Amino acid sequence: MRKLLIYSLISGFALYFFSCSLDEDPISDYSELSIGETDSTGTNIKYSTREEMLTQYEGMYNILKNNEGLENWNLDYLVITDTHADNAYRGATDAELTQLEQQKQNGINKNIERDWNGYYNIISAANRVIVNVDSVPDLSLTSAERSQWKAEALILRSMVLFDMVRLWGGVALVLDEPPAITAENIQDVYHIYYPARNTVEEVYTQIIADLNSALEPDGAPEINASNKFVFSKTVAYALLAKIYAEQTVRDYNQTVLYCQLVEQDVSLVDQYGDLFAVNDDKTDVKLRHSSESIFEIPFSGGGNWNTWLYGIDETDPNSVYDWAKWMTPSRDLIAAFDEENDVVRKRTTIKYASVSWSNHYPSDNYPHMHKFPSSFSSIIKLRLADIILLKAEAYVNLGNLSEAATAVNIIRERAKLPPLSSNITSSVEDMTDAVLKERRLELAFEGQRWFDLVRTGKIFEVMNTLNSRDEGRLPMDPVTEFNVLLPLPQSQIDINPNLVQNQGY
Amino acid sequence: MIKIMNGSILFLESRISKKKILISLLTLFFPLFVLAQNTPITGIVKDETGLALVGVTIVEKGTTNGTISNIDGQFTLSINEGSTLSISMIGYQHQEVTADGSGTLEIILIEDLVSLDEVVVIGYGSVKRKDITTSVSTVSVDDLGERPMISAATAIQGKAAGVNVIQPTGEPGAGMVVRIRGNTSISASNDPLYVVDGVPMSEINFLAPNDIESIQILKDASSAAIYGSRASNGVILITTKSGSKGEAKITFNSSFGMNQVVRQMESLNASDYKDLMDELGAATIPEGLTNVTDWFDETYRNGNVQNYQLSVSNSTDKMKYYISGGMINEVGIIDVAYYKRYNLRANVEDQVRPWLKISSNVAYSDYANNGIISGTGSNRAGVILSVINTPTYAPIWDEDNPGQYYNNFYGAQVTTPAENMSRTENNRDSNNRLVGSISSEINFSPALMFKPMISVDRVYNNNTSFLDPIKTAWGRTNYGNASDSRSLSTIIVYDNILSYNKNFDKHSISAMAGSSWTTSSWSNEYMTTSHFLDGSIKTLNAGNKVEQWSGTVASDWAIMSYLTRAAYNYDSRYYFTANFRADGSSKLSPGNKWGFFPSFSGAWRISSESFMEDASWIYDMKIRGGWGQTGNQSGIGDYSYLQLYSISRQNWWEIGKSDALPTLFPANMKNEDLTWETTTQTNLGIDLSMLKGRVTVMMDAYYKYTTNLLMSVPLPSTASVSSITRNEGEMSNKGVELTVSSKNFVDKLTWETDFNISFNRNRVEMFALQNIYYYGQTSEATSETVIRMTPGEPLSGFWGYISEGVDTETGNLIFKDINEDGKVNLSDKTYIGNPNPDFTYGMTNYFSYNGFNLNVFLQGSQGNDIYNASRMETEGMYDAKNQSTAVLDRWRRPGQETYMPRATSEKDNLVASSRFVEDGSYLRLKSLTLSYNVAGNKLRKLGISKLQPYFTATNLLTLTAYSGFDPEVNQYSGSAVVQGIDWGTYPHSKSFILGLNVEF
Repeated sequence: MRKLLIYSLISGFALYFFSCSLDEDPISDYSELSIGETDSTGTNIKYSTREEMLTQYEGMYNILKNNEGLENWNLDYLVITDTHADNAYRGATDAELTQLEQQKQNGINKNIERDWNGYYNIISAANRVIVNVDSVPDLSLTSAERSQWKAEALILRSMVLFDMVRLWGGVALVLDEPPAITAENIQDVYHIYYPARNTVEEVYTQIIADLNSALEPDGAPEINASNKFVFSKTVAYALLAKIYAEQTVRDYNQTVLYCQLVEQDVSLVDQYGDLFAVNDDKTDVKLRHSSESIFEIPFSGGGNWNTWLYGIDETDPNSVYDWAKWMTPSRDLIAAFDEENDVVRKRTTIKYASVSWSNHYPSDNYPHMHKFPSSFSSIIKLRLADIILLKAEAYVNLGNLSEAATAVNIIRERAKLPPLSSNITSSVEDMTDAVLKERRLELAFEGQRWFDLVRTGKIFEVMNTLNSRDEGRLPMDPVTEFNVLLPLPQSQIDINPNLVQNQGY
Repeated sequence: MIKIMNGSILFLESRISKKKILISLLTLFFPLFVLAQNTPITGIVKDETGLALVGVTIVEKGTTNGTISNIDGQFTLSINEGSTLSISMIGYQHQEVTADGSGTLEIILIEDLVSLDEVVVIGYGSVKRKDITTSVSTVSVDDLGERPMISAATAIQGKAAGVNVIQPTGEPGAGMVVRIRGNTSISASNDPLYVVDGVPMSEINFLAPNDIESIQILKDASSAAIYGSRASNGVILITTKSGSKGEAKITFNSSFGMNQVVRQMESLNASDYKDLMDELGAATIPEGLTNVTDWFDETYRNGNVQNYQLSVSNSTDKMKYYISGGMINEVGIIDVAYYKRYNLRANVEDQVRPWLKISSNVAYSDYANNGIISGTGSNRAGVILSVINTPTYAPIWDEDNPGQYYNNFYGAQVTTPAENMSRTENNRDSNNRLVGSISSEINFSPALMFKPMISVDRVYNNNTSFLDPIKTAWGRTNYGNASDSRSLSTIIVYDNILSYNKNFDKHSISAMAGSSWTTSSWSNEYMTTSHFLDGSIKTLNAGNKVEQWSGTVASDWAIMSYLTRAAYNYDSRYYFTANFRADGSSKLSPGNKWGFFPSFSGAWRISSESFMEDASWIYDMKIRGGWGQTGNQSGIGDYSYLQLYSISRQNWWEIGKSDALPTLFPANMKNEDLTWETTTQTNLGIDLSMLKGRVTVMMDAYYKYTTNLLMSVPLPSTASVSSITRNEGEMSNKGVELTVSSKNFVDKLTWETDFNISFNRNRVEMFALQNIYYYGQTSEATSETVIRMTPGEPLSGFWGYISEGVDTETGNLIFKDINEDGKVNLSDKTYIGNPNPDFTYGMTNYFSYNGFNLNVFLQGSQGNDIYNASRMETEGMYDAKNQSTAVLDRWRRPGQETYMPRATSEKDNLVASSRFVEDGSYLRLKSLTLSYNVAGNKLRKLGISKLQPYFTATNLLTLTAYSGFDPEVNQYSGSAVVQGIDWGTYPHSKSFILGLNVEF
C-alpha cells in the first residue's frame, strides 16, 4: 500500500512536471505583440512609434516598385491603353492579350482580375497612412510630417481611383481600414467587407475632395527637382487638370487653370529621345527625374523587368531577342508616324530588329516598343508634354484656337516638326483631330491613347474602322457603349454579390 | 537434482544413500507414489501438415514450470504425475493435454485461423483481437519481404477497406497520399496521423518497410479519438520489429529491379509539324528540316531500384532486440530524378526487474532525392509536356554556341526536354532524421502499470539548387543562380500513461489515464545568390550577388493533452468502451486553447449467446457500434490568431536609401476565434467469421460530419488583405466498407484470398461567407479554372462547358447552350465530371504449393474522372509548339467529320469543357510475386534457415480507358480541393524485380 502511494506520488509529480505552458510568441514574425499598443482607453493603436509609421509611409511608395506598380500599373496598363486601342497588337499569344486586342474581354480575364486586385492593394497601402498617421502617440513624428504624409497618401489614392473609374466606371470607394472580423461583429461589419459600387459621380466627387484636401497649406510638398518619386503639389495639379477634362465633371476652364499651375513647376527637355534613352556608356539611363517629369517611378539600381517584355535591355550585352514579347507596334501607328514624317519620335518609340520569328512582321525587320530600353528605365507616369497638349485640347473646346495652336506647336518644335498649317488651325474639327493625333504620336505607349479616344468621343469611329485600315489586326468585335468599360472580374463578383457587373458582360 | 536450462535437462549427481535404497525398493511396489514427485515427459509438437513447430510454450498448468520446443519441435519437462500441460503459441489454438506418462507425447497444434487471441495495438495500449469494439483494419505485412518498396505507405494500398492510397506522381521518393474514409478538410491536411512505436508524426518517409512488424489502421472516431486533435483523418499505428523467440536470427534481404515507363506518346515528325505550322500561321518554319532527335528516347530511360537490408534479432525470456541497417537506391526513368535512403535501427527491450521493463527504439535515416519541373507547360520548362512539344528537327546542343542547349524555334515558346531537365539536374533535397524513444513499464502490481515515455523526432532538411549560367537560356538570363535552404525541426513528446487491467469472475475491466506533452521547435535558414562565373563551383560563395530575400526564420508550437479510457466487458460477450481526450494547443488564441474529444463504443458477441448455438456455420460474430469526435489542427498556422505583418526589404543600393529600414505590411486578418476542425463520426460494424474460421467478413457503415472547416476565405480586394483564415464550413462523408478474407484451400496447396471494397460519398454542406470557389487553373493558354466547389456538391467537381463534338462546317467545337438563351457564355457552364471514385477495391490472392508461393495483388478504382489538361498542350494547336500525332486527325475542310477540332490560334476550343474529361476507372495488376523457399537439410547444416529467391513485377498490367500516362494522377499532390488533374505529371513506371531473402 505504501509502495502504491509512493508510486502514485511519483506519477503525479511526473504529470505536473510535464504539463507546461502553451504560450508561444512569434519568433520571426512581426505581430500585434511587437507592433502597436493599446492606449489607456483600451483602443488598439496600430502603429505606436515614428519608425513603425515610417514603415507604412515608405511601404506606400515601395509597393509601386513591386508587382502592383510594375505589373498592374504599367505592364497591364499599357495593354489596356495601347493594345486595346489602335497603337499595338499582342506580342505572344496569351489569352488575356488576345481578348483585349479583339475587344472580346470578359470577366475571367486573368490580367483584368489581377489589376483590379492590385489597384485595391495600392489603395489599402495609402489608407494605412491616411487612417493611422494622426493617432501615432510618438511625438517625434511632427504634425508637419503627419499632414504631409497624409496629403501624399491622398494624392496616391486619388491617382489610382482616377484610373479605376476610367477603366471600370463606378467602383466601390474604400476610404478606411476594415476592422477585424469576430463571431460577434460579423453581422455589423459585413457590409464594410462587401461594399457595393459607388456611382461615377460619387467617385469623382471623392477624388476632387481628396486632391483639394491635399493641396491645403502644410499638405503636399512642393515639387523636388531631384526626386520626382514624390506625390507633390504639381502631381495634384496635373491630376485635377486631367479630371476636369473628363466628361462627367467637365470644366475646361479649370483644366486650363491647373495646366498653367503645372507649367510653373516643370519644363520640357530639349531632346525628345533623351527622355527615354540609355546613356552613351550604356550603364544607366540618360535622364532620371528629368525637368519634364511630374511623377515617375525610378529604378536607380536596376530592377525594371518590364524592359524584357518589350525588347532587349540595352545596358546588358548578353540581352537578346528571344521571344515574341508582350506587345507589338501596329501598322496603324507606324503609318501615323510616317504620314507626319515624324522621324524623331518614331525612332524613340519604335525600334526595328532582326529576330527569328515572324508572327506579325517579317523577321528581319521586326518593330519593338522602345520606351523601356533598360532595366534602369523609369516609369514616367506624368510629364509636362501631356499637360501642354491637354491644355491645347481644353482651349480647342473653349473655342480659343490660337492658344491651342501655340501649345501644340511647342511640342511639335521639340519633335523637329513644322508648326501646324493655317487651314488646320482655323477649323475646330481639324484642330480637335490635330491635338488628338499629336497626343498619339507624343504619348504613344505611355498609358494615354484609350483614355484620349474615350474622352474626346472618337472611340467608336476610330476603333470600328480599324480592321479596314490595319491588316495586321485580329478581327475585332465592335466597340459599343456596352464594352467601352472593362468587365469587373467574375471572381470578385462571386466573392461579393453586392458588386454588379457592367452591362454588356 | 533436475534443473531445466535452455530447453534441455541437466541431471546433477546425487549421492546414493541407504535411505534412498530403501525408498527405491519401496518404489518397486509403489511406482505411482514415486512418479508423482517428478516425472520427465518428452514430446514433440507439430502442426497439421506435420511440420515441427519451434518456440511453442509448454507449461505445467498452475505453475511456472515450463519450457519451449526446440528447432525440431521436441521438448522435455519434468512434472507432477497427472498434471495438465498447457500448450500455446501465437497463431495456433491453445491446447491442454493431461500427461499420463506413457512415452513420448505427440501434440498436433491446430492453426488459429481467426487469431482471436492475437494482441492488437490500439492507441496507448493493446487489446486482443476478439475484444475490439471499434473499426480497426490490420494490414498484413507478410509479403513486404517480397515487394520491395520505398515508402511504407505502399504496403497499405488496396489492403484495407476504406483506406485509399494514391501515388500522385511517379517521381522517385514521391510520397504516397493516404486517405481514410474520404477527404474531410479543405485547407487543412487530409493526411492521417502516423504513430510509429507510440511516437506521433505526420509522415513516415524515413521508415524502412522491412522494419515493420504490424500496421493497424484506426478508421473510426471511437478508436482514433484517443489521439484527439490530430486524429480527424484516421490514425495509422505502426509497430516495428522487436525480436522473436528462439535462436538469434540474421536476415538479409536484397533485390534489384528495372523500371520502364508504362506508355509512349508520339509527337509529329518534322514534315507534319511544318504542315501544322503553315496551316496555323504561328511560326514560319523553313523548308527541308529533318527529324534529328527522338525526344522520348532522350528523356526516358530504364530506371532501376536496388534494396539491401540486413537485420539481427533475438529474444530470450528477459531481453529482446532487433537491429537493422540497409539502403535503397532508385534511379528514375527520367534522367535527373533519383531517390536514395540509408536506414539504421536498434530496438531493445529488457525486463531488468520483474516489475520493471525498459525499452528503447532508435531509428536514424538519411534520405535524398531530386526531381524534375513538372505540373506546368513547356513554356515554363515542364519536362513531361516538352517531350511532345519540342519539334523533332532540333538537336540537343547548339552548334553555334558550344555548351548551350539548342533553342532557336522560330518564335515558338518552347525549350527542349534536355534543357528543362538541366534546369534541375543539380538540385537536391536531403534529410537526416532521427526518431528515438525510451520508455519503461513499471508494474506497481500485476494489474497496475505505469509507462512513461520520452521521444525525440529530429529532422534536418537541406534543399539546394544550382542553375548553370551557360547551358540554359534561363540560366544565361539570370547569370546562374544557387539557393540553399536548411531547416531543423525537433519534436519532443513526453507521455505518462497509467493503466489498470483486472479480471474477476466473468468481468473484465481495463482503465487508462495519462498525459502527453508535445513540443516542437523549427528553424530555417535560406539564402540565394546569383551571377556565377561558370558552372563548375556550385556553392553559394561563388555567386557575386546575394539576393534580397535571404534570411532566417523560426517558429514553435506545443500541445498539452490529458487522456483517459475505460473498457469493460462481461464474459467476452458484452463490451463497452469510453475514451476522453482534452487537448490544449499553443496555436489557438488565449481563452480558446482547449478542445475536448469524447468517444464511446460498444459491441455484442452474438455468437456467444445461447440462441445462436445452433448456427454452427458461424464461428464468431460480433456487432459493434461507436460514436466519437476528433479534431484536425494541421491547417492552423503557428500564430495565426494574431495580426501578423510581413517584412519587405527596401533596396539599399538606390539613391537616398543607403540607411533605409524594412517596411511592413499586414500579412493576414486577425481571427481570435480560430479553432480546430471537429469531425463527429458514427460507425456501425459487423465482424463475422464462418466455417471454422475459414471465411472472415468485416463490414462497416459510417457517417462523418466535419464542422468548423478551416478555409482561407478570399476577401474582396476592397479589404486590406487578400484573405482571412476562418472556420468557415461544414462537410460530410458517408460510406460502406467490406472486407472478406477466406482460406480457400489449406492442404498441400494453399490458396487464400483477401478482398476489400469501399464506397464513400463526400459532400460539402455549408459555407458561412462565400459560397463559390474556383480552383485548378492549368494551361496559361486560357484563363480557365476547371474545378468549382460549392455546398451541395462533392469536393473537386469539374466545371465547364459540355462539348457536343466538332462542327463539320467550321471545325470548331460546339458547346451546349444549357439555358437555351441563344448565347454560349459563362452561364452555360455546369458540372462535367467528378474525380471522386464510385468505389475502390483491392484483391490479393496468395497461393502456396511445395515451397513455391505466388502472390497476385489487384487494385482498382471505378467511376473516377480525370481532367486531362496535358492534352491542352499536346492537342491544343494554338501556337507554335509541336503536338502529338493525334492532331493528324484534325478538321481541315468543311464537311469533314472528325473528333479533333481545327488548328487555330483562337482559344475557344480550349476552354474548360468535357473535351478533356476522361473516365479514369482502372483495374491494375499492382504486383505479381513468385517466390520459392529453398528447403533442405544441407542448408540447415550451413546454418541457413531460409533461402528465398523471388521475382516480382509491379504495375504490370492496367485495364483502363484513360489515354494519358497513368490514371492514378493528381498533379496537385494531396490537395483535397483539386483532384484528378493530369498536367504534365511525372508518369508511373512498371518494374521487374529479382530478389533474394536469406535467414541465418
